[in-house]
Amino acid sequence: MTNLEKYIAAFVEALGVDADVVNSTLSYQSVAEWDSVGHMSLIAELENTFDIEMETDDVVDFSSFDTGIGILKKYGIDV
Amino acid sequence: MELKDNKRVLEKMRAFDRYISEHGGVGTAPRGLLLNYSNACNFKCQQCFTESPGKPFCGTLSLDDIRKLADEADELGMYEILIEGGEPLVCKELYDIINIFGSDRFYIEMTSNGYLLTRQIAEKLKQAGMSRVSISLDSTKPEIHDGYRGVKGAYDHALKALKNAKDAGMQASVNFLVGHYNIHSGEVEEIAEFCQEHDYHFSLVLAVPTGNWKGKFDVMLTSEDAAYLESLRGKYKHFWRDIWPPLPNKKVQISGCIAVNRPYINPYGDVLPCSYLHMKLGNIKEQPLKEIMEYGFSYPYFSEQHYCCYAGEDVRFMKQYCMHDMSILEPIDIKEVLNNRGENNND
Repeated sequence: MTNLEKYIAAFVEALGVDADVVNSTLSYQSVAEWDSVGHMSLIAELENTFDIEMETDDVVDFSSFDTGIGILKKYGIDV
Repeated sequence: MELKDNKRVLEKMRAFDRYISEHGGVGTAPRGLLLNYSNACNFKCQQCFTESPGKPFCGTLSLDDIRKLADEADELGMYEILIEGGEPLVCKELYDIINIFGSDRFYIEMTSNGYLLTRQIAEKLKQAGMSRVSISLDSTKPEIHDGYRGVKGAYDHALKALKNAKDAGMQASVNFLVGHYNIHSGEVEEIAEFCQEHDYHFSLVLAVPTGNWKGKFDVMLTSEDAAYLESLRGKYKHFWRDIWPPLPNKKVQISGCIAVNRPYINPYGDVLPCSYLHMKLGNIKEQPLKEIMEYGFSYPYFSEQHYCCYAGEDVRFMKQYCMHDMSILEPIDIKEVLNNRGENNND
């Protein structure tokens, strides 16, 4: 599985959305499932998938599919 | 402020979650407070565990006490403040209390019967800093809910309250009382479906043999009942129990009883391990909260992991220690309750 596939799978697992909505248009609150609680599930899922621990600033800044890719780079994960 | 953007609360919440992952459970990590500032209520519920009076009630807590308590709770790393009653919406100091705790440093929640939660009140609460409102619902059938609550029209008001809370931008949650008597009635699933349909959260509150149901041990969940709730956990979204981790946690499925981790403060400032164990650990007017928490955790019952709820599932514990003449407002010193029974002595 590539990192991109893992990244998309984390959204699907944490938010319970279909894989076809997980793309560059997806952002916080753009779908009902990505609310504040969904956000915490997503962060937990990503931390577990990539075995990282995000800083709180990054948890706050993680506001879209695209910004998430940039944030993961900080932890050495190239998506 | 949205939880996602609330750095201070997120930091504390994630620190609690990390503790759970590292220790396999809640251990001695402070989580939050349950605050009963005023026990007055506008309902007369059959199952009330606080024996709330239907008339004005005067405790001795002051807003200065709350200021001190809030600072101490923050210092301890607590992230969650749950305001209970009685009915919080009949407490005239409610907005002052929310303001003192502050949504910038705590996730503030309230449990209500919803009768007074109009759209305007919901908006006012949101503006004050309330993040989540939990409304008690006993059934999807109005006559059953109204019967339990002792007030005609209670069900309709509860449904409106949930909608008003959600429309105002707060997280709306249903509190459902579950015990051995109703676990297989189909109501848990009915309420869960209702919550899914409306995008409400669902918190399971366990029936306990205290308050108006003192001595009714047959209402408590059996281990088979608890296993059944576990089986529903994966089926429904936002389906919560207090013994489960508050954040999604792949390492720990059951984080354990949170008695003392989230202590209960009664209207006199007495600190109890939780809403249902009416043992006094200390008083916030007389001692720092930290000292009271440490004293509570000096009892192995509360410092060691207990993977079920003492009050709602552990019949042996409740029969042995909770049948004294004790109540929310008249808790008995924990030393007298536990040590005099010759077990779990911390001396």
